[in-house]
Amino acid sequence: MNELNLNETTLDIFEQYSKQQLNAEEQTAFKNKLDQDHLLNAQYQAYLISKQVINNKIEDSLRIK
Amino acid sequence: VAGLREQALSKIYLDSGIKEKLISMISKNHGNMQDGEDLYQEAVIVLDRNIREGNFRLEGSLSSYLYSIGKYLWMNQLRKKSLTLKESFSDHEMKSTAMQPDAILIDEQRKIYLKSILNRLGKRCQGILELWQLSYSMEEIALQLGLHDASIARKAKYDCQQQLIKLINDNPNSKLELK
Repeated sequence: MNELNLNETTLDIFEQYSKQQLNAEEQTAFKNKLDQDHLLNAQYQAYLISKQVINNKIEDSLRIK
Repeated sequence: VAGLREQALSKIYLDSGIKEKLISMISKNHGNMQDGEDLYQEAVIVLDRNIREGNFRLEGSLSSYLYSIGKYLWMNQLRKKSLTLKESFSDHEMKSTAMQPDAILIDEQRKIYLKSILNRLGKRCQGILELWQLSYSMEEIALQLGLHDASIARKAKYDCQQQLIKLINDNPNSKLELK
């Protein structure tokens, strides 16, 4: 995997893992995978930041300037 | 959906009872009315975030919940100035806010930097990802954006998400300080 071919399935798993929607076994298996695969881990960190970026925009829209 | 969410938040925000209680607490703890107004706004934003992220556990009244969040935020601000809160903070309040200190306030500089990355993404993509993060269904996203159907909305969402992640990967500084 490289940063250009982060596919839909991987993004779906990132989403489910971050929201702890996988079952316990899958959650552990994916955590182990992240621990072992540095590239995947880097992609996951980028995914979390992408969520934070959007979240900041949502929260900014609620602020009265 | 967004209309209802905003209406609900607006109703909560305009609840002067909660706001006044928080302003009063802040006034007694090294703050003033403006600090109270600003903090109340942040407390409502944290409430919204907790609901969206599934961390909302209402065990008492909504006003108590919001008050606890505000108190917690103020306590953190005071801590940065080496001041303390005169009012005690119960374990129940700490638990009910369901917040991690580091997760509450993201460094302002980092926010500005992340915003600059987002601005490189097209407005349409920003809109799609915003709706998606607000838990809109793909059908609703399609409807809002005039797309033919949910499958096209889903494809557009993935494309936008990939573009944003690529922008983040292309800007290694964006990964610094991620907690």
